Amino acid sequence: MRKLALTEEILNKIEKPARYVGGELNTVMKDAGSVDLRFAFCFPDVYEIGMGNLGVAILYDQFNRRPDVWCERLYSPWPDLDRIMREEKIPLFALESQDPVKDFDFLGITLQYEMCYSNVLQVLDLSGIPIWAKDRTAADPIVIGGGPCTYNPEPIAPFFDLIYIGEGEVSYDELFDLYIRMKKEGASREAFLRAAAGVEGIYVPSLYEPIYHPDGTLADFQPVADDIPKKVKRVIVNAMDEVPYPVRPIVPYLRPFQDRVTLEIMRGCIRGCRFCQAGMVYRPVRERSLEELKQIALKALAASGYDEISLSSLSSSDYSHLEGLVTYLMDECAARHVNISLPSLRIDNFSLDVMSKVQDIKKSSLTFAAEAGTQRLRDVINKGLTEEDIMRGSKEAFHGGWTKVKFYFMLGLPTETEEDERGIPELCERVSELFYEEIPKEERRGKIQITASSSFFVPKPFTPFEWAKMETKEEYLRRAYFVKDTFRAQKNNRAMHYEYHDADVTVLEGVFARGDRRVAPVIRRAYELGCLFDAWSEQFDDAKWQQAFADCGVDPDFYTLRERPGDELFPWDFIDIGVTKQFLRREWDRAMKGVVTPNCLEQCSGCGAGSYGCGLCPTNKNPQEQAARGFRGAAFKPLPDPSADGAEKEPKGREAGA
Amino acid sequence: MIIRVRFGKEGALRFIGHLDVLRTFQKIFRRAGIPMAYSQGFSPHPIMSFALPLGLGLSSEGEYLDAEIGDGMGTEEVFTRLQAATSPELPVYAVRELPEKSGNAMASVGRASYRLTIPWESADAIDAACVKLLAETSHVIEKKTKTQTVSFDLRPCLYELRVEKDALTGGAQGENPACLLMTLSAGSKANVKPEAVWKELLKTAGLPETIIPMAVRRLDLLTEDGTPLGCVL
Repeated sequence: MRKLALTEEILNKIEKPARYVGGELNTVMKDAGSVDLRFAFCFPDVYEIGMGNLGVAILYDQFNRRPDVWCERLYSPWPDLDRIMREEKIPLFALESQDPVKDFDFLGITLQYEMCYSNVLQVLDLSGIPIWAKDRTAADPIVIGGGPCTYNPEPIAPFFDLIYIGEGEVSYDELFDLYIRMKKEGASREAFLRAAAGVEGIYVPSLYEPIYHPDGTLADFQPVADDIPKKVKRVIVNAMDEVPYPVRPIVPYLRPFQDRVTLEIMRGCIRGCRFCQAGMVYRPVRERSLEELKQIALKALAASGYDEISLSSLSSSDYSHLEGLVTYLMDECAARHVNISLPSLRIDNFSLDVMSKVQDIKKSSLTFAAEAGTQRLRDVINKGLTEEDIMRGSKEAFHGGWTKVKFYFMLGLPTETEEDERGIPELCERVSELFYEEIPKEERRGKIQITASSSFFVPKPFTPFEWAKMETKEEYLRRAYFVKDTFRAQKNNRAMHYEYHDADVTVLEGVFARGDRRVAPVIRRAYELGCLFDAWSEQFDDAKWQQAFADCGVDPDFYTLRERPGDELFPWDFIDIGVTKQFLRREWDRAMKGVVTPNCLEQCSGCGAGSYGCGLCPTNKNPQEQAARGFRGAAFKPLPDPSADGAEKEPKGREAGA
Repeated sequence: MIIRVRFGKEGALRFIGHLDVLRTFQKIFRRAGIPMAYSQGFSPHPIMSFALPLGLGLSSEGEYLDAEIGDGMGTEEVFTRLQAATSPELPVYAVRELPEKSGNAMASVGRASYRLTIPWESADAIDAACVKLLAETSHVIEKKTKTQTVSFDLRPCLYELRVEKDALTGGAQGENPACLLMTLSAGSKANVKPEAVWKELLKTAGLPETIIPMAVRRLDLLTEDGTPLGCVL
């Protein structure tokens, strides 16, 4: 039997001990003595949240394909176990071997959202690894970060030895080979970190130094030596079919947040919504082929025994072979009693037809990510969804028997006025009225139910809104109350329910999203004060964070309330994501004018991601992908001549108020 | 065809709750490619039921589930496929076809047998306490439910209660643990937990209540007349 790191006594008194024992179906067990490199892969939140993460699954599978590497998993101990581990001085361990993290060569931490930063420090602390990278020695694992938050790693950079910028499939093999070779040669930690800076996509925070202007803005950010690259280029997979996919997913015993097979159909998004970081940092769009996806789906279902499969992408409706894939899955799944879940589908005849086959209409709801209440503001954020789309989709759905509609909005978007805020309840009112107009009384199956929820907008790095100012907590709440009051004033207000997100968390997210290295001591201090699991509203304690800012003499308003000038150097500008700052600034200007930009398939806007020469981009010379790209008859025009950047013709778009 | 599967829970699986084991078995059946029968309705689920939930932390070699499967696959093939699809910590021991008229596993359970691993030093005193307890005609204890405390006669629920010093150690002495074997009422009529009986034995022996068994293992589930659930014919 496998040994367990926690005693019977502890396991019997903590909540959900299954979080810490490992041994799930399809986990990989190896002999620790026969591998050259041990990698502890951490998702810094509780097991049920982290277990379903696709990025971890992909890399767990990829790393363990190497006979000389053993990758294991770990998650954040919940506060009940956290307390016991501190009292009894039990070191944090990985699930598979139950060995202490400190014994590993690497500790990899995936950074999926900013509110997990205090948990990162908990993982380091409980592992017995010094929190600041500069204090670590040969006895400590190399701590490497990756994931969406690394597109501005600076607030947490001093806690990491390495940060991986880009898609994990690309550079880990080279990094592992380098580590194994240098370890055998007896090279020092410093020598390895220095050499790692030469691996594409690897950022070594200790080898870069920021210099600040007296006003606090960044003056310069340079490597400490000439042989360290000035820019770190994001690495990406060129062709999705050429990288392996985990067809033996781990099947947890404890019911996770995502209890199903996840099928990643493509990366990137053609849409270019101006608030959306994922839409910019994962460019260009790269699809998996239909044949490949069919095989992956069948293999993963057979190896896991899951009874549900979910398509994953930023905008599934834009996948070229969606109909073919969904039709195939519906046939295969019906025979196996497997459910299909289809998130992020545009509401049209096809999706309504599919949804009526795979879901219970009475229970399911339509979802519109309208994001803004008026067409003017939707044009500012380049959200392609129009009121006409919403009305047409709702009408068809009402006739199809649906009575529940969900709306997602954001408050605090750039240029937002009271009219846009009022637009939220008014749009909901029009949809509810449409229901009563369209469906005669005798045909109504239940009442219309509209749920609208709004989050507060957080400007993210590498988006056209990276220059935008945020609002104060009080202002966010004032707007939310105003929207709530306006909902109450609607005729059908009893059919509508409105909820809004926490404003404290929004402001903190804003600091982390666009902060610099001076924010790191604040995170350290907040952790000392007891902040942990900040993504959990019952655990989040804003007063402690405010105290941490005060104790460190850091003003959060500097990061949130300031509209940045066009020429400001940003802490994340040393990262080259392909998409250029010039393009983002052009998009900012167009946003201020309320001009929409066509999507990648309608017309190339010269964002810069074409430099990768792959995916759905005019620079891609692969004939197969060229063919795939022509789907649905979309016109595909070439990139504008980069030398004529300033003279670029304005792509056709709706003008404000049109 | 309805089958009865005998399985065990070892190691990490001891900390997996009853409902999670149920969901896991549904996945194991699908991994094994065994055609399951499904309930009717909009969201059909596999027809599968467990004999008796096992407390968290306990290991077992005597768990049972009944499942309805499609015809055309023999019990031997089902057994081989389940063994290949499960994990070492959730071992499958046997698969039998259930005759049509026999009751399901849950309704059939009347007794459960357990083995507690206890400190060697306590063995003699506990042994004497076993004899004393069995000699009584009634032994009323207070049983706490979620809302109230009720009086409950433990004695009729005890079928076997004895210490075996060398059951695990092959006769070695001194620091080795001893074993306490119990067969208790189980199921819907009267369900007694081994921990409750252990507590009474400590009290009877005059030992401190802080002594806890090193391990508790369920050995088997039996019908009301003492036939193991695995003997379905």
